[in-house]
This record gives sequence, structure tokens and C-alpha cells, in this order.
Amino acid sequence: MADVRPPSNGVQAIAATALRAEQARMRIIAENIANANSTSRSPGGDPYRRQVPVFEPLRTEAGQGVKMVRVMPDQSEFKTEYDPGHPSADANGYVKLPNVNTLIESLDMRSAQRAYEANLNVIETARAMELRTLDLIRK
Amino acid sequence: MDVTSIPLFAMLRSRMNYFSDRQRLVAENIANSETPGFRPQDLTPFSFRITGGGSESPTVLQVTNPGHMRPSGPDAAAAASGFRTERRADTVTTLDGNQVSLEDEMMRMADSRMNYEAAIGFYQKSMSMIRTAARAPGR
Repeated sequence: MADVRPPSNGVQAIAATALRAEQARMRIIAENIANANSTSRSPGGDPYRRQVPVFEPLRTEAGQGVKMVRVMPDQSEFKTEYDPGHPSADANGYVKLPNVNTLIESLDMRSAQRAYEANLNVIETARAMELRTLDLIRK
Repeated sequence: MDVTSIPLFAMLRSRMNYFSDRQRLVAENIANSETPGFRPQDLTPFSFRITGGGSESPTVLQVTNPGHMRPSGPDAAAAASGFRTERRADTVTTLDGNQVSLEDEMMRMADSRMNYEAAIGFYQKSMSMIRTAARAPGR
């Protein structure tokens, strides 16, 4: 992910960092949902582990933006299911399933969408204010 | 003649400065609406204080506690008297300690924009008054 260079307008720079962070978060959510049923390649192995994005305030020249600093694995337990015929089943016939809950993922997705829209709104308002100021020159 | 030596213009200018600074803070708050432990900030309410030369900004900000955050950015020196961290009874605090309420921020943003445009309007009107006075008679 490329760093955001602050343009002349600080407000838009801050909102842009947030847009990037929310985009990155959406990518993680998409990964989680896509792999909601990915079991291990080897018998008895661990399946896909849910990823969690971590946000932190980011100091830029313009002010305090936000950045997705890292992606951490979700440490919660895997679900198991008895399915002896499954290629990933262990010796006792149990298959470990990913610790992804699609309901939680879709709620996270909503929240990311809402935050993204809010930031777009900020850019829109900042732009309108700036244009209004530029109108002073015309008269 | 410097326009800002006229008290009305000096006041309008500082008011516009105040609202563009506030807009930046709102942008920071919205950008960090998903950051764990983030506290939203706001400027102390604006008060008109007639400044002699009109060059200094009357947005008086107070740091009453060493823990208060200081603004960053190119105009840090102008705004560096400090932002106050807001503590309100109705703030929504999520489990991860984030206290940003998107709705409140949206309202604050709209309010800043409205006031900013009002100040611009006043500025324009006063300017046209001066122009009327400066026009040669009979033209």
C-alpha cells in the first residue's frame, strides 16, 4: 500500500488516509468470507485462520489520519465437524473448520462501508467549502 | 491599505480560519472512527475578540492537562495553544474504547460548513459596500 502524500488541503488528505484504510479492511473481509470453508490441505492440519485488521492513528503533515498497521490472526478456536470421508479429516474422523463467522464478516463489511461513505462526505464538504472561497475571487 | 486592518474583516477572517481548522479536526475524527481507543476532539467554541492588528487568530485554545493532545501540521504554531479533548455524557464508547459517533461528526461538519459560508457571505457583502464607497461619483 503506497503512502498517502498530503495534498495542499489537509482535510482531504486525512479523509484519503481513511479511505485507503477502509479499502484495505474490505480486502481482509473479502479474504475471510472467501475462505470461510477452506479446510487444511493435509489430513488433521489447521484450516484457514480468520484475519483481523488493526487500525492506528497516523500522523501526517496535515494532521492525524489513520492507517491499517498490520493484520493479526484471530486466535479463537476452530470448529470441528465429524466427517470421516473428508480429505482433511484427522485419525478420529474430525475435520477442523475455519474460525470465520460469515455473519460477523458481513456486519464488519457494513461498518466499513459506512465509514467509507462518511469519509467521502468529508471530502465533498471540504471541496464545497474551498470552492466557495474561490468564488470570492470571481466577484 | 490592508483589508484585515478593518476590524470586521479581521473578525470574519479569524472566523473562517476557525471553521477550516474545525473541519480538519472533524476529518481526523471521522478518519479514526474505527481506531481502537481513539477519542474525538473538538475546538473550544468560537468567541469574537477584537484584535488590534487583526493578524493574530482569536481562536483561543486551552491545554489544561499535560495529557491533552497537541495538533500537528503546518499551521500547528497557529493552532498550538491546544485542542480540548471532549468528554460528553452521551458519547458512544464501543468495546475497543473508540468514542467517535459518526452522526455527531456529520452534524458538526455541516455546522462548520454553514457557518463558514455565512462568514464568506458577510465578507462579500462588506467588500461590495467598500467598493460602492470607493467608486467615483456619477459612474
